[in-house]
Amino acid sequence: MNHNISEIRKDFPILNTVINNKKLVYLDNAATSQKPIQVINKLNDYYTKLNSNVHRGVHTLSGKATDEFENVRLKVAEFINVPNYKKSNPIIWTKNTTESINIISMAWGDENIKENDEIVVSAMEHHSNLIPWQKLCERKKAKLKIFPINEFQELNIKLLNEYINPNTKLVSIVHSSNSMGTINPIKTIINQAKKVNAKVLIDGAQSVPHMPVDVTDLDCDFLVFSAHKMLGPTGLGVLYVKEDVINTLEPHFFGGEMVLDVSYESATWNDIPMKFEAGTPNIADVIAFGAAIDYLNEIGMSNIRKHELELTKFALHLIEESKFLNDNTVLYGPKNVSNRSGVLTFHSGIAHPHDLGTLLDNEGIAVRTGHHCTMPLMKYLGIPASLRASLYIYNTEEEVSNFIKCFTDSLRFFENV
Amino acid sequence: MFDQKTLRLYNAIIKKHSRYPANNAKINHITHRAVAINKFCGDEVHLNINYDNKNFLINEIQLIAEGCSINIASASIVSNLILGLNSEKILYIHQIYNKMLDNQKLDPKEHIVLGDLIYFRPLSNIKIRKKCSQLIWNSISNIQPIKPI
Repeated sequence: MNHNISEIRKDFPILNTVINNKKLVYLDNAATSQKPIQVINKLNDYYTKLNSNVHRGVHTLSGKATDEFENVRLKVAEFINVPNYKKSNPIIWTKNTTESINIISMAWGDENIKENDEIVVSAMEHHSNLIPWQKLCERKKAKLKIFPINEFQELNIKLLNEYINPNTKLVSIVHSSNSMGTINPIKTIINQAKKVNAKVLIDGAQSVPHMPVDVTDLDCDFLVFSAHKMLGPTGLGVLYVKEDVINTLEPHFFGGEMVLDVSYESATWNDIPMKFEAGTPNIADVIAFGAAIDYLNEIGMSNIRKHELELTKFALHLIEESKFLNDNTVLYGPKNVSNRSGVLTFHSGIAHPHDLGTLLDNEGIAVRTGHHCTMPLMKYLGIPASLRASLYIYNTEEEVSNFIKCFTDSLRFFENV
Repeated sequence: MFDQKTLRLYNAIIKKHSRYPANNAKINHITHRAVAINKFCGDEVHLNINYDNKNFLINEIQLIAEGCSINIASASIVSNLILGLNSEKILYIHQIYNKMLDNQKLDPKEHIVLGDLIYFRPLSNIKIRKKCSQLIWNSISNIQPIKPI
């Protein structure tokens, strides 16, 4: 990476935190990322200098807040390369990725899915990209089809034509798996969906923060992701809807902000995207998210991907060299490192992930243990839970090395009763 | 490499009970059963019990516990402790156990009542893992008579 990691780390105050007398090694980035001082300051600046409600206010503060708020919408559109975004911006603010998917399942799904239609999701979906479609299929008597995975937790792409067929009306698929680290071939999936006139929703919660994602190139119909996994604040999600689809959508929530004209009997809607944002939006967090996008742009998304790939290769090399780890643990995900994100998920017969996680925490190492909101996948793999270390721009080889050493020591600790 | 805090929790007694849980043999004449499952982590406790209806106490117990070592070890130790006890005494042990996890001072008599559960005292400072040791107690609160065939 062109940027010096030690310089980047200085921007993240929390990385100096001491946990159990050890310097924090934060490897729980797939759950949420840490925030640079630029984002924290932006949030503070908003509340100390700019706090005001957006849109329609005639006073100076409201105007300034509105400008900053709407500028971030433009920034996000540019970040994912939305076509013609200056003319009509199809970026809708939501609470998080989960809410974005739920909105589409209702606003688009209830209008377009009919009895016996098929919706396709993969076997590695987060609960948020599974349950909304289960409920939609229940409401509409439609069929939910689960695209299978192979032994390396990759989509069994040979079955593409079988699963995405003329009955398919929607494919809702994760770009990068939060629990296995698999990067799915979404371009291939989108191309097949286009052939059968199915819409495609891409769950970008784990890809947009870590690699370049270009909706013009992908030509997907929906892209959803969360600010908090990409250096931004919690409580803010993004819903991108392709222009020809967004024009057909009716609002799902009603109230202030989203209306043009209201009488006692009826109402008409504001322009896109505001007609989809009822009530006062999450102004402070949107504005702070702008600072996160600036930060990511400054480093460059290709550089971020390159850095994480190098760290992942380094981790895989350390694992490969350890006979003990190879004999006693399973590392999930693709064998081809270019199909992997910076997510490393393990299971071992020696100890339960929670016990290992407690020992790692004792060494200041923060990892996630559990089912990672992918219970059906864990059941399919025949494990109750797993241990996940996930990387980001501020992680170093030293931290990866420390994790592998402490993970090994933890396993040995439980091995010797 | 691990400091005293960790070693105190994962001490020899807890490690032994987690690896070799007590009361794992099948029992005859099952009168009651109990199940508790934590779906979030996959921990499970299953109890098969022979209950003495005349004297209102647990005669025999079979424990099947899966999951993390804290769950298995606590289930194992509790299954030993409750043998031959009635519900009132079992409830009392649980109350003292919770008192210990709340970092309250125990008198010597209460220490004795807890038996090997005393080794879980380090959990009082690891809030997130307390629940792992409570699954056995959840199962006990769900003990149900099995219907005669």
